[in-house]
Amino acid sequence: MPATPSEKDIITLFRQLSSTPDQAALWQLHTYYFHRLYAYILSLVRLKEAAEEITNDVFVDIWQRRHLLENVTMPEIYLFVCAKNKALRYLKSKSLPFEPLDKAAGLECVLEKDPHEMLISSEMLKQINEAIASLPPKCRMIFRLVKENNLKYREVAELLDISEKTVENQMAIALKKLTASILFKMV
Amino acid sequence: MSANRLWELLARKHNDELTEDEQKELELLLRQQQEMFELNETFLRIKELQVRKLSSQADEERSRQAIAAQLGPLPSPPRSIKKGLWMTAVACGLLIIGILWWSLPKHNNVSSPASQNEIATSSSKSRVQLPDGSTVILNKQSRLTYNKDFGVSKREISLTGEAYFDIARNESIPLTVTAGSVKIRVMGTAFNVRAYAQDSTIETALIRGSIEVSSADDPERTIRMRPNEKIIFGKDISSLPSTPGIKIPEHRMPTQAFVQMNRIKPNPTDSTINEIVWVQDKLVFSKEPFYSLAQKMERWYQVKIRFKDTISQQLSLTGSLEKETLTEALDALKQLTPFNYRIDSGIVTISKKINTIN
Repeated sequence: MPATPSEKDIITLFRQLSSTPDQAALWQLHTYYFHRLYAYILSLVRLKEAAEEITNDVFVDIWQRRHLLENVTMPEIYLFVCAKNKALRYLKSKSLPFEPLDKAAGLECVLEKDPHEMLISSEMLKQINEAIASLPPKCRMIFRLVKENNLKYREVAELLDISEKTVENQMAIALKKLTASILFKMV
Repeated sequence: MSANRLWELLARKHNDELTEDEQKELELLLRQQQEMFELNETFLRIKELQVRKLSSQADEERSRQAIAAQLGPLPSPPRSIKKGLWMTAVACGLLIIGILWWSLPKHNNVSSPASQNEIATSSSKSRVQLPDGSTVILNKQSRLTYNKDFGVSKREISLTGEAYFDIARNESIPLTVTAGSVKIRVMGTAFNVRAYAQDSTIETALIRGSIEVSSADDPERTIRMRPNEKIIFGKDISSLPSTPGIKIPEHRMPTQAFVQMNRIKPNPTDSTINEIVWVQDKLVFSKEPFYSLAQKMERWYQVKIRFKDTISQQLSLTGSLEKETLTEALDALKQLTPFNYRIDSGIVTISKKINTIN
């Protein structure tokens, strides 16, 4: 699993891309973001093949318009908005509606631990994942997006076209249920 | 107190979005009830968990190839030969392989029984396409062997010298690279291994994907590497071959066997990675500080470069190197930007130009 880059790392990669035609920076971005962007796009378009193509398209676009990247200050959300716009264009071209939260019904979210992580037993992990599977789709989708991408509530709200408060509430519900799944005596 | 407020705060904490005031509020809430401590502990464990990816590494690889195809003719990384040169390079590679095919068995190398293919380079690099679709770029004075039925039943490579591997993913046939005492288990990835017999260390740099590395000294202990990590195993000094006439430079003398994990830092001026700069066919630099260029030249020419003073380190150099020898290159560089150099048993020492001395 690639280490999570800091915002500064990504800004640096964006600068590199805009100033030199060096593909190394693009592949670095790809390593960091391919899986995350793919999961997000899949939640919108639901079809694996389409999601794959749109994800590739995001990176091709980044490359072709790399001169625009120099002044981007929030690179992560830039990538996700780019992904969202492409996914929406796809849905429109197929006359499919944009219903991100309903579309999320089929999207699983399974947590896993680092091999070195000793504090969580497999049994505990199993319970947590059962709890996630039982979350309402909308709640699970928000949890996945926040947890996987470390996006700010504000950013997730913008991506999903919902209020920041809703994101916060849903995250609270999700974490409460997950924690309860381990400590059932609580709550 | 509101139970929901607690969860809101915890959720914010999970996402690292707590303000200072909220942090205090949360601490206060957690202190009110004893069982809250336990709850917080559990919560912190969940924070450590990762979301399982919906896509596999094979998906990532396929995506990379699809994107590369749309970008133009440059397959990358590593940045590679221009289209026109491509065929020539492949032809040269094949020629080299062909020549070696003829010449090598005569060396009656014990380590190369009939069940193995062997490829070796002397004064030039070579690109090798393995039967499973993997690509290996073999640096100068390096030797690579792999089993005859490579890709059919098993994938076992052994290496002396330096090579860059871009390995095709195949989960059912695991791939191992053995370089001296170091064993690398590969999952479909790109990485560089530097394991020259005369070097005191064995270096593995992971560019993308994931590999597991272990050492013969401690085969039970495997280290899982992440992209942009480099692992350096120090050799036991007694295991180094004593080549007559060649002294092991003092800076290469290890005090004892060691293991060291480093980050790979792309070069800030052009984001190239020093560890794999030798793979390129041309070394191009523009207004690059000498200390930074020196790192690339060390890889390029397989030498060590030292600076006597900070003034020469800071010199800004522009140019490109292709077929020049080390001395040709240094002589050309100092025409444009004056400096002095000395080459002594594989170490280049650079110093500033002083007219009054000597």
